[in-house]
Amino acid sequence: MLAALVVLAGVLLAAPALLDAATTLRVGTYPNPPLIFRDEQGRPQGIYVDVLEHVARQERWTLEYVEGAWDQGLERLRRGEIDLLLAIGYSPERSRQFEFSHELLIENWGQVYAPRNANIQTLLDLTGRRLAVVRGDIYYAALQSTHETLKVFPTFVEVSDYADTLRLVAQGQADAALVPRIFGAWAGRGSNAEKTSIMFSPVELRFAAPKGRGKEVLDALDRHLVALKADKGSIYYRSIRAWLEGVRTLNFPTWLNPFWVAGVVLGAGGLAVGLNFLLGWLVRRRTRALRVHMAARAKIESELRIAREIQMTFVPRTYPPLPGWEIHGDLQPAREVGGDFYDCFLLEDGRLYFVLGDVSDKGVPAALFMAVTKTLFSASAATGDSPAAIVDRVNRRTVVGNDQCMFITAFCGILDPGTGHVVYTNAGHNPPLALRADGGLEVLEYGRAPALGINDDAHYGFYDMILRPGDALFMYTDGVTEATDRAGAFFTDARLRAAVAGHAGRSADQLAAAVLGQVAAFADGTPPADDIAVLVIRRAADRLHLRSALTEIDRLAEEVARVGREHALPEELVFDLRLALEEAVTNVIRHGYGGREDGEIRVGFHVTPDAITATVEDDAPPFDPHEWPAPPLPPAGADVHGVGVYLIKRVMDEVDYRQRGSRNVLTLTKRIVRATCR
Amino acid sequence: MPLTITSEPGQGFVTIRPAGSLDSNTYTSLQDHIAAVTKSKPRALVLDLKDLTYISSAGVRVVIATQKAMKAAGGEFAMTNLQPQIRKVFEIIMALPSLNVFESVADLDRYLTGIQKKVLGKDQA
Repeated sequence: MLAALVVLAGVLLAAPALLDAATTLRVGTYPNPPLIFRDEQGRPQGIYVDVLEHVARQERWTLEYVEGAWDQGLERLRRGEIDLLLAIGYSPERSRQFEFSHELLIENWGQVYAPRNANIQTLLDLTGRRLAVVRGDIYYAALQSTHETLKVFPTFVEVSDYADTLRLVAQGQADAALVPRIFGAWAGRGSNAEKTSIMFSPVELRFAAPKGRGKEVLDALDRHLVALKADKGSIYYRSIRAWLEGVRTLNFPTWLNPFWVAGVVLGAGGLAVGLNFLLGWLVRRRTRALRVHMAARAKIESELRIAREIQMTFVPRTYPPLPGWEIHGDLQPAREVGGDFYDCFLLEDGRLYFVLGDVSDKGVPAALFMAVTKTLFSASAATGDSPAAIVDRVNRRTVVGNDQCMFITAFCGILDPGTGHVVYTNAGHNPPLALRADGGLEVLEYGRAPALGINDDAHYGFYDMILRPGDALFMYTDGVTEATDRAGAFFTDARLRAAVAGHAGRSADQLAAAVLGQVAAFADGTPPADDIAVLVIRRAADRLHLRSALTEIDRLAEEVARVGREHALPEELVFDLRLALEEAVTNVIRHGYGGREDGEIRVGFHVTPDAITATVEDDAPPFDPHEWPAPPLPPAGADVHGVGVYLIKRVMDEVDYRQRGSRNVLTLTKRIVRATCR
Repeated sequence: MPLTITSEPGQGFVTIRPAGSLDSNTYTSLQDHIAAVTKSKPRALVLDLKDLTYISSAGVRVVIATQKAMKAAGGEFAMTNLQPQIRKVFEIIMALPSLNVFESVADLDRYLTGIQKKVLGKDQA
């Protein structure tokens, strides 16, 4: 049935040719290898020639080639000096000037070539660069018509054939060349320019005749092309395969070898065409995407900002209320969105779960993976299991279906706020730092297990530590240590440790801000290469919340005694501290709050080897004890409240009062002089 | 920190022994106790601070106020057995010169004997 149709078609195709056996066609050619060009002997070569000559033999046409530059050929066609122009890209505009065949012979598109070191990878990179183009070229026209929209402004250097564009690049007279992709594949390998990812304007290459002429010829070509495309062994496929495989021996094409033709062309011809169509589809899609993308740049940028906003809501910005504890996290994606994350929340039993992690990539893919991972973590943590069990579960879930082979490093822990006991598991993450109240710094190097998402057999254990009053746990991602300065040097672990160690006694948010401030100062405007995340959990230095009532003095005394025992402070110092604090707190109660009993007074302690500092904070109206007059001598002065202030100044080494916002903050410092035992 | 107060009436004088912590939370109980004791108009009032571990300005005020009240009533006031840390607080405020402070029980006893003699002499007169 099919054979019969083919035979019938052959008869019908042959009929007009028989009637007009003397047809001579003037065929315009131009240098566009391997579609069409002259070889060293001046003979026309290329895919178009192969196909045209095949059809000409069938149709008994006599071919007369007219060689010229591309724009000359186009002009000759316009004037009707030639009957046929080969390998001309179809466009609606050209179809108003010329008659086109309908059947696609091959698809082509514009492709920019540039030397590797030219740093030209996207259309935007072309602005201000010299782009060599061919006069009258359809891709050149496409770029000219859209570069306003695309905001791409190259300097065009016009030449008359594609080979010259690459030559200009080789000679350094142009930064890049715009050529048809088929030409580029054929000639580009011999030049210093490489294919960039800039491609656009796919066009169908067809045959064209002068307006109002050559309809029979074009119809004949279409008919033959249909038949040729239906036969995988036809000259159409053999020619495409041979030329596009980069056959360089112009005089003796390899495809003439029958074994090669039989073995390779039959097998791979279909594949080549399939790939060709796939590529065509990709380029069309890419061109469309580029246009949409470029035209809507502002919109996309705003969407990325929104994405960042959304991502920022993935990480907590307020923290669980945990009396006596300070929690602070910060996330700074390198691009608009990134793969770093942290999280913390209270478990049902009152313990604090926390995690800080880093997905092995940046940008939107990492952000999506991060969102999933963080969710897995929280779902897993809600069971209240050990960090090892949490991490193990997340790992097994992450290994499954991880086609992108992303992995996550994470530090996960659970804190008992009553005791300061922390259990933690480290899945391949940078070891966090423990900043002790006295300024000592420890690196939590224990128990580093594999990152998540790699191996579902990985074993995760857990380790523990104690956070005492004033201690802080500083967790961070490698974006901190790998932040670079203008010279490209890393911030490094050493700088981070120094930065953290320099801020003992600071609250969690102050510590995070101080360290990130140092990182920013180091980078000095160098854009971050990686996301930055930090999470700080700090046990507040000893801190007591008192009501503004004199009955609270007992609790104050007990707390001072406890601090004294805990830090083995000399008895006399404990007495002085208690005395100074009682005087200070009593003054706040009596004079600051004026007898109101619903006020709050917060008393904090910070102990270093050399000194103890106590702070008294209240929200009463400003009350600077320094402004109280020095007490007159007793007994006349016995009733003056200045006596308390006088006592404070006498028993403490330093007394500092300041107003912070609506708070009064009195800071009392006493040097610790310990009796030498030996 | 509690304050426990015991008083021991003697011949014409009362010894009050506050024990523990005399601070702005507890000073009122000593103040009240002393007010009750002075109602009987003793010739002398003695504060024995042997068991007082802590004192703040609130406590010092009670002491000074008591001394003033006794003086105004024509009576005597004395303190004894000040622990070093208690003495330090009084010293800082420079309250000691105006107070009768006895370093030892023996000194106090001689002082109290003098008061007793005065009391007895008055009674006999």
